[in-house]
Amino acid sequence: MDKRSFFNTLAVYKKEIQNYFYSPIGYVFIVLFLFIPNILFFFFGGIFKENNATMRMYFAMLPIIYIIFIPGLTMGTWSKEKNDGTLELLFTLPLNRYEILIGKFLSTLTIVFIALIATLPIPLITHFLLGSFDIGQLISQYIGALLMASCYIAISFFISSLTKELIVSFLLSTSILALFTFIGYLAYSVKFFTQLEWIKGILTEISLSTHFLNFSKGVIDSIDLVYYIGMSILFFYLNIRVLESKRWS
Amino acid sequence: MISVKNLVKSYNNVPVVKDVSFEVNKGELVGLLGPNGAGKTTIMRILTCFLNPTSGEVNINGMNIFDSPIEIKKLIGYLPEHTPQYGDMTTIEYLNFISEVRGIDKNKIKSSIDEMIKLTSLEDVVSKKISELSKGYQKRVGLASVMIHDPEILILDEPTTGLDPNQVITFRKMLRRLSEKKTVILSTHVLSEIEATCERVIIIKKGTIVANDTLQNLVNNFTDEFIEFSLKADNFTEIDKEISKLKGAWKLEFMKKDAKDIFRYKALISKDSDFDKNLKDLIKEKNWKLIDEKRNKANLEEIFLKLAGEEE
Amino acid sequence: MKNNDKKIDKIKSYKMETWLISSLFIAIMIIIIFVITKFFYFRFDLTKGNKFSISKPTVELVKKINNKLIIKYYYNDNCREHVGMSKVVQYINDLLKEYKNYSKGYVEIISEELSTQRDREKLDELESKGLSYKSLSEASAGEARLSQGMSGIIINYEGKESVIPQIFTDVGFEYLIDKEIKKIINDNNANIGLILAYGNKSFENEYSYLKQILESEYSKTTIINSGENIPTDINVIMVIGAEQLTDYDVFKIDQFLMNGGKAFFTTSGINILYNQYSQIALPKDGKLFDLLNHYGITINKNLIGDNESYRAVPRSILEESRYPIWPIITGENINKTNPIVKNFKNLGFFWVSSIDIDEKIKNNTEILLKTTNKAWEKKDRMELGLDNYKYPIEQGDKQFNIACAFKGSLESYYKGKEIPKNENENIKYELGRKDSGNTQLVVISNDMFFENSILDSRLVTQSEINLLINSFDWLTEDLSLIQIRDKKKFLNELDKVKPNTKQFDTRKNIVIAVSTYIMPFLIIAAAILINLLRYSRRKKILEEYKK
Repeated sequence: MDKRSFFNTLAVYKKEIQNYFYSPIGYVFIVLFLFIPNILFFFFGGIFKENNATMRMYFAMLPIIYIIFIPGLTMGTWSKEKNDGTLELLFTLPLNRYEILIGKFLSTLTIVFIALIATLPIPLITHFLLGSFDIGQLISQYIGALLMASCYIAISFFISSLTKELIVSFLLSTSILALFTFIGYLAYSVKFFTQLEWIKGILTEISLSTHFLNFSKGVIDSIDLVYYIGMSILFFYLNIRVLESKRWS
Repeated sequence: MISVKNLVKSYNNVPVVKDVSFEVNKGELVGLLGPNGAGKTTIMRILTCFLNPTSGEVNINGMNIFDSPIEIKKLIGYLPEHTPQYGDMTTIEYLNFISEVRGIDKNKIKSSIDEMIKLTSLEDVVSKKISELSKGYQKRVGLASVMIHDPEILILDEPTTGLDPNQVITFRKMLRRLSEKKTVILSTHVLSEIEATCERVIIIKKGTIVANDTLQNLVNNFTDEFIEFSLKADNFTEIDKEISKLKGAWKLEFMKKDAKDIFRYKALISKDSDFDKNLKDLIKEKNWKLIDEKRNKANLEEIFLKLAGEEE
Repeated sequence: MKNNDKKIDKIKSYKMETWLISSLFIAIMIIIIFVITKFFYFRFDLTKGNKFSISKPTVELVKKINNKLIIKYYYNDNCREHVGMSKVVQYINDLLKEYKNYSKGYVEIISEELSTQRDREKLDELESKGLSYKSLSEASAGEARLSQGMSGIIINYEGKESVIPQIFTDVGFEYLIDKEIKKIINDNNANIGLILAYGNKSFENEYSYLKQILESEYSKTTIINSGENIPTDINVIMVIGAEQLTDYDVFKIDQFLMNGGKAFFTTSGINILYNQYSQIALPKDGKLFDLLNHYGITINKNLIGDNESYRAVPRSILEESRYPIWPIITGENINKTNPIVKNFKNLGFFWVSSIDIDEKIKNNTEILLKTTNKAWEKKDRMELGLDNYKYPIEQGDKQFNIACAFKGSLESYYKGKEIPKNENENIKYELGRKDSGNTQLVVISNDMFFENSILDSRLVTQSEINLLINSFDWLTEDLSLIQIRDKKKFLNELDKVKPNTKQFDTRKNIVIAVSTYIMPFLIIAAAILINLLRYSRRKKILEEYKK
């Protein structure tokens, strides 16, 4: 990436971040992201029920929380631009598609990052007041949460590029993410014939949620890194292809 | 500067632009004229690398739109139809964003924005959200944003729609001043726009170019005439029925009632048309009275109507 | 022009058609990288104590295996369906994979899930081999569901078979497996001889748990009765108590040590006597004290109380008594360099005496455990009953040693003396005599804490048991498993404050309030602030341009 590309990406990033911060959407996301999982975590099982200083239960529900929250944040990414006609503006500016994509991606990731940082008081205060946390595990959990978020973002970005309608974009993203998330759980809860065990293996390998298990345990495994980064790149690529193909339609 | 050869663009195999070729030289101000849906916007979108042509060749400053889209985009300031903008941004934020993307030097951003704001008289709305601005102001913000990087080529799609007459006049003045230094292509479906600003006009109808000439040449080479006449008769229904049956005119319309029983009509005819004769015959036959008859050379509006108007 | 059309066609077909192919290509690339990383993978285990990686001693152990070792893990479908247990199953499978990865190819892992219905026969066969069921309960939708779970391991090595009947927790799993592997491949250095010299207690009754624990840890443990010689294959002895030893017994221990044997002594200097009415402590006599004294380790005939760190003993449901003569050794008073104790957080003892170390062996001796410096001693008859206690019994301003480890050369107690007469006349001393020798000793001045009554009452935790096992490992110089043994406590409990107290609830509410209510509030405040700043900036800009 040369200097020009960097500044272009930065300009798009700034614009998108402004969009999040000067409109309610970013704040609504963060506040709900703090509120809903916390309530679940504190009052329906979780830290005080288990009486253990660990966030594993919190991070166990994160893949499901992301299913709703990430599309809510990203549904407008391309759909709204198309709807408002600003896509034409953006694409006739001297920007590469990938610069726009990365700028948008990073800004969305920043919001998720802020939301995750805002959950830090749970482990930190508990650590000092009630019981020591395993800091290494915590670090791995947060890294994993961020990587998983980028994968979810990449997928819902791609879906947002397919449609003009915000609501269609949201619902479609939610369904696809739910599918990719739940096939992992499915593999555990459905009985397979011994001959079909390999299907179970494949389902667990492609699921968005199973690759988070290691991170939530406190282990960073190469295969999970490859999965999340690979999936993100794949969907970025598809996304750029879809945008590119619009020029031919 | 801009050369378009055999440009074809189809959407789902339906051609919208059919074999269009034209050239625009440096410093020219060219109008793309045509009714809605004629393909003006599509041509402009291809020029600005937003769409790719189905076939044909487009070169801008010697660069092919496939080979160096980014370089071409840098040369062009493009104002799309309806001037889409990020409504949540204020004018100044929006101009700032555009300047950053355009790669304007950090130290010069402020001065170039100031210059644009002065040029388009946006001082009162610099801090307003764009979505809260009136259509006219939005257009002006759009114009400011496309000129901020001092582009060699300006491509403006329907730049005056939504502006009030005063604004239109200011805009035209500005455009003429600009065209001394820049190449401008603007599209419109309003003829007066072209008359007021352009040196050359390209008339497009259903995706093909029907005329490509300077206004003067267009008028000079156009031989059609129109006849204005009034009749005295008792029964308007009958007259209207009979007159509309007359052959030889490619456009015929009732204009007004001069008096209780005097009806005025206007007909556009080709030079060698026998409409005149037919009309005289009819008057004689029906025993009407021809009050007056005026023959005039057709003006631009009629030319446009003939070239681009709907076929009967 | 034709050229250009071709170019468009080319670009177009490239863009339109190949994007499918190229994304397929990327997907395949990802799968290939996926498969490659399956073989050449790396793992960063960020957890404290690397819970999810096998530790260095295990890696070394696994590398020692030079014949086929098969670890077969069996679990039934009930385990997989149970939420908590499924994680354990996953963990076991994960960790066993590591065993295979680090071996030189001799370790084979078989993991088999058995269906409760279809694999009836197989399950019965496993049950007959020693695997056993455990009921798993699970609350789902307000209903508790019970099921029978089976999860156990069978290890085969050179025709031998070792069975771990139940594994229902990931806690200490690695240690469990390592222990069995060590036993089955005979990598165990400790052959333990047990000598009980404490009142008329026996390994069948009062110390049966202790014997069980040792038998499960080590491949060979032998009880040596009074008058019997110590078998030659034994390299460590554990001596509990002191008073029941004859002169011959002391002699055989002395000579065992002179010949390179090692010993673990647990005895206090007092006798605890109790009946229905009272509990008293009286100074204890025993020939073993003279032996240890000769070596330079004196176990005083006193009772130690610690006014600062002690156990609270429940008197009734509501009341707890402070009981300073059950001291708890904690923090700085635990030696932080010796591997036997360095990882412990606290250790509790019951009626201990103090230990003094003679100058001559000071350099070779490490004090393992000390009381705080607010401790006191009592030397005569002492009432132990709770009713006689009103804290503090005495003012304490001294610090006492209660455990030490010695490593070095000692001179025989029987140097130049005759072999004492053995009361058991059938047994003669047949081994060679030595006047000095290198040895290792661990001495703890407490003899009660491995008694069944104490182990039963759950006053003893895993830490105290590990103290025993670590001591053996240190004595046999096999320190490999010591560090895995403390890999047991993975769950960090909320233990800074006692649960279900007012203080706990207050702190809990602080956590909830800050993270769930104050943080969103701060975010909203930030939102307002950011937008106000924008507003004022807008105003400023407007004024600037209006001028």
